[in-house]
Amino acid sequence: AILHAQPFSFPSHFHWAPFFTLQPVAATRARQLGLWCELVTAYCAASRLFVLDLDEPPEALFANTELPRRMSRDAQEAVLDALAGQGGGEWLEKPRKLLVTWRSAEDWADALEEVVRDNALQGAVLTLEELSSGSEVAGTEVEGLPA
Amino acid sequence: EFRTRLSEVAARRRQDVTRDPTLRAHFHQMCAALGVDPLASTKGAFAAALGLGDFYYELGVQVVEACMATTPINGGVIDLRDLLRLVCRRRGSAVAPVDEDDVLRAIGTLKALGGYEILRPEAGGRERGRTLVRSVPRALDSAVTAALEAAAAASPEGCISRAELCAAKGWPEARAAAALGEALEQGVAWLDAPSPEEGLEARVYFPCLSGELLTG
Repeated sequence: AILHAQPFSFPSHFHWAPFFTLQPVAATRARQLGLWCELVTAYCAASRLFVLDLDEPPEALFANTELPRRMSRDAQEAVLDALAGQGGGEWLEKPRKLLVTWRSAEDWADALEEVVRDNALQGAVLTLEELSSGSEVAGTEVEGLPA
Repeated sequence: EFRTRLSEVAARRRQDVTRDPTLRAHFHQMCAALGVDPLASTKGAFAAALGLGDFYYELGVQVVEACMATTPINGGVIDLRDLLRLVCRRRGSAVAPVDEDDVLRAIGTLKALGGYEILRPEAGGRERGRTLVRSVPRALDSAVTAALEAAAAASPEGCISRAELCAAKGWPEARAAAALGEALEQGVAWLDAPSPEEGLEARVYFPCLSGELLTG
């Protein structure tokens, strides 16, 4: 299958100022972080972003320049923590770097298998680098997949 | 006599009443004048003749779904206009249209679920009176309602700062802080506290006042 990054449509609460303040009330914060986890996962899937590094976060995700509001670093860390907690990501370096699992490992395995079949590569020995960025995988779902 | 006639009319005009909100409103007015509640029992003569029991039951389910979908953000308080819009979206365009009165009647049948109270906060100044639906069992206390009213009058986004609330209600700071804090605690308001560098005052936003922004 060939996939390109999809244009992303932000949810309506992304245009609402309080969404960018880490809520002080626990129950409300839990709901807010739930919404952020959904947003982060969907954004990473659409942008084909595998790693979120808070030292270099994607500009468009944690801030809305139209309001203008931005999530504080603490708030961003809380989002990553919540995402890891619900199994939506794996820590590469807590608390700032997370591998976002917007697709299950099984699904990735299936996608890899399809590329191997399409290119008649069964039985060949491929390096991890060839698998993620070789000519056979260009334009397919597995391009850019980190090791 | 009237009752017999009414049930005859009901049987003949069944399709018309379920299709037309104006006709439906007229029918309910006639029933009210006679002291008859067509929704009192889904097995009642009128409900059966008109299929109104099914109609309001289905609408009630759609109201509950819309309220449950929005409660995570608005804490269980929603503007009737927004609720109507969400319900109509759920219903789609192929079925009979419904209006605010229909939604209010359906809500009347939901009392057994707990909650589903209609609130009519006071309008201030040029702000038109609005109708809110509380779908959660806990009632809003008077301080929170007052803060909500002030926020509705203060800004189209439905937000207010502590200083603005003091000015609007003539309250001392502590009272305004307590009211806003309670609104946050009850989950019917969210805090907007931009960073100190941005030099903006913290504000409390009521999602039920944000209109189409949050409900779409």
